[in-house]
Amino acid sequence: MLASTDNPEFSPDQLPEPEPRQWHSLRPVQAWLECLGNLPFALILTAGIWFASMTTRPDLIGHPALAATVTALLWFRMLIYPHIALRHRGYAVRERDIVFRSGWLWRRISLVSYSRIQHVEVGQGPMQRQFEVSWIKLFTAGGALGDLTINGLAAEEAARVEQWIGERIDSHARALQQALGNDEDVGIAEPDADAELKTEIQAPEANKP
Amino acid sequence: MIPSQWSRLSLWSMLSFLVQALKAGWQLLVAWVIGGSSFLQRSELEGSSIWMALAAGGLFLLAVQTVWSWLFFRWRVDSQRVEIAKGLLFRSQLQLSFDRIQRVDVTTPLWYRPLSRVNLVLESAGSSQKEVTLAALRIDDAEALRTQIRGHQASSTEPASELTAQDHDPGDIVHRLDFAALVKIGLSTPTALVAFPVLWGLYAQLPNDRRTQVENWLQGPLHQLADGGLLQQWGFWILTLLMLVLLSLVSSIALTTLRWYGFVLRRHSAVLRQRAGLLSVREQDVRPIKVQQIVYRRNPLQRLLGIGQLKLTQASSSENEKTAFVVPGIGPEQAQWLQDAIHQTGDREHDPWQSISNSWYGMAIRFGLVFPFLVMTLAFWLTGASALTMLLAGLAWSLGFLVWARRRYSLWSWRRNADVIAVRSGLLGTREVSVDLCRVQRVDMHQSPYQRRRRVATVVFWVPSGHIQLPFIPMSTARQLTALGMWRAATTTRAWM
Repeated sequence: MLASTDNPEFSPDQLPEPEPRQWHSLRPVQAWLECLGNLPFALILTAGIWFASMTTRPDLIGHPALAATVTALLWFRMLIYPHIALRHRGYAVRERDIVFRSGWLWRRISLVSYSRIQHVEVGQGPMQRQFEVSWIKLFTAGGALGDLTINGLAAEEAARVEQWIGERIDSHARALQQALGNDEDVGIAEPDADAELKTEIQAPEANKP
Repeated sequence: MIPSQWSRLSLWSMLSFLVQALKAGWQLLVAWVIGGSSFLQRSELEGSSIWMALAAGGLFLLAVQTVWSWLFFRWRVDSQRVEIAKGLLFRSQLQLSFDRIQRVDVTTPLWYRPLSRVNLVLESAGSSQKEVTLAALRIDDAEALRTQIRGHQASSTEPASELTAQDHDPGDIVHRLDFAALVKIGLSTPTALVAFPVLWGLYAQLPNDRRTQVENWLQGPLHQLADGGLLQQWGFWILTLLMLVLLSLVSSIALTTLRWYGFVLRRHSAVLRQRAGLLSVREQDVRPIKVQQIVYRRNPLQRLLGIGQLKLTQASSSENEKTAFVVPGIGPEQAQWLQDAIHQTGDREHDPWQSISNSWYGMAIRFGLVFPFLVMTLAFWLTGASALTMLLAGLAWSLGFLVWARRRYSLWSWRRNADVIAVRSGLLGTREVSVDLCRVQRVDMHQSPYQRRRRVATVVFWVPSGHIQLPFIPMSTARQLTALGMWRAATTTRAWM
């Protein structure tokens, strides 16, 4: 062996469930802001599609039905999908980690432990400032792809979450320092042995606060 | 001597700055010469004087750049960090704390070998290129600085037992390459495979008269063996192919020898150190505690020859093939032993490899058969190709895809050993990636509509050097692994970066 440090073994059946019991939803105005941001692109792309359709052979790419279908899909993605997607987004702040879910058809749940957060950033765009909405970004050591961004929090809520995470990071650092000094495990409660493991990512309606 | 006050590097470091300038600006130099000559030709100057002027100008620019870089590069070291200040117009100052240094490499370029000088390369996490190169240090100074950095890191982040454990054999050789092993690596590296089409492409670009010359030169020996006709034509092509293959293999072995000659991997108390190189010697060391991911890769030729390549990935993102800590020519059993040693899995039994859910097969068939069918129907409609052609093309695609999907599915598997997750995949070549869960930064659990129906999910563990993905595992297992990853991230007392 190259090194000898503690490496206790856990039974996976005794670990706490990865999903929270209650999800917090985001501000609905966020969907409208996303639509507003998408609108110029939707208009430009639509003009491009119809220009291409009118200048090519109507029996091939220039078939009006094809152009209409592509336009409909584009507008759905740009202007309607943000509303659907927002309903399926949610987050939960827990004792040891923060959880974020997203996706309508392709769903995703992301978990970031406070012990791994390098720093936290809270920000607002100009339009978000008008509607008192913020985003919060959690930076990990995993590079840009390993970071987690939650967009559409109420500004006050974002500030509270930031403060909570800051306190958790500090308390974890203290616990780690103490554990290293005393040569023992980090002072976090044992996992719940009776934790129920669900069998499927639940539908968003079932978990709405 | 390691400076505690701001100091310049030695004068010999100008050689390194010159090489850096050449590497950074060779495209500019070529453009300068070609563009300049075309401009000057119009002004009706003598041909030779044009080239002389351009060459002198280019050399002058290189010299200025080199001296400039050396003049405004200063460094100093205190008990906690290395500090670098460089540039005059665009000034930059870098403080690199010893704790944040991921790798300390000592390289000895050919031109420094007679001078007993080395380059010390320091890399930290989160940068796309190497942070600091301290050029032309004396060997003793480089060694002293490396020892200082490693000593500081060990005392601040690791239990003292790691440095003083009695069961370690300092300097124990873990892996070494003899010439036969170098030949094996040379034969199995992609260079040998790539060289052939490249050479063929170059030959095809030759003007007709040159190609005729080459063909005549190659045909010469054949004239002595057989006289004209079809045999000569076939013989010419066979001989050409053989020569190109031979040339590519020899060049590949030569390149491998240049890079890996004298390769030795040693195990010290808390460090793995390797040294290799024929002309320029490179010595790299890595602390197992800094290793985020281990990738063991074998292409079909390597599998045939019983070797593979082990790559130890750290949080430093400049992990390309040239600068990464790579152990070449290592067999599967030895690679497994090394992985266990780095992950500290001890004597625990390995769980057997588990296949991913056969739902993946179902999804692959849907995407591989239904989607191409739709595309082909569309193509038939647009191009008006005959129905029989489309049917035959579709059948060929489907059969080929079914064979591929079945093989791929059977080779995609994962296993957990203590807190280490490993994923193996590959069709002809294989790739095995393992991470220790205590290094996890974020965990993602994905589900597509199809996966939701089949009650399977894809779990992605993000570590500082990238990610590892477990596709199509049962939902209950996905939840357990996610929970385990988060639990380990929150509770571990081990240093993870």
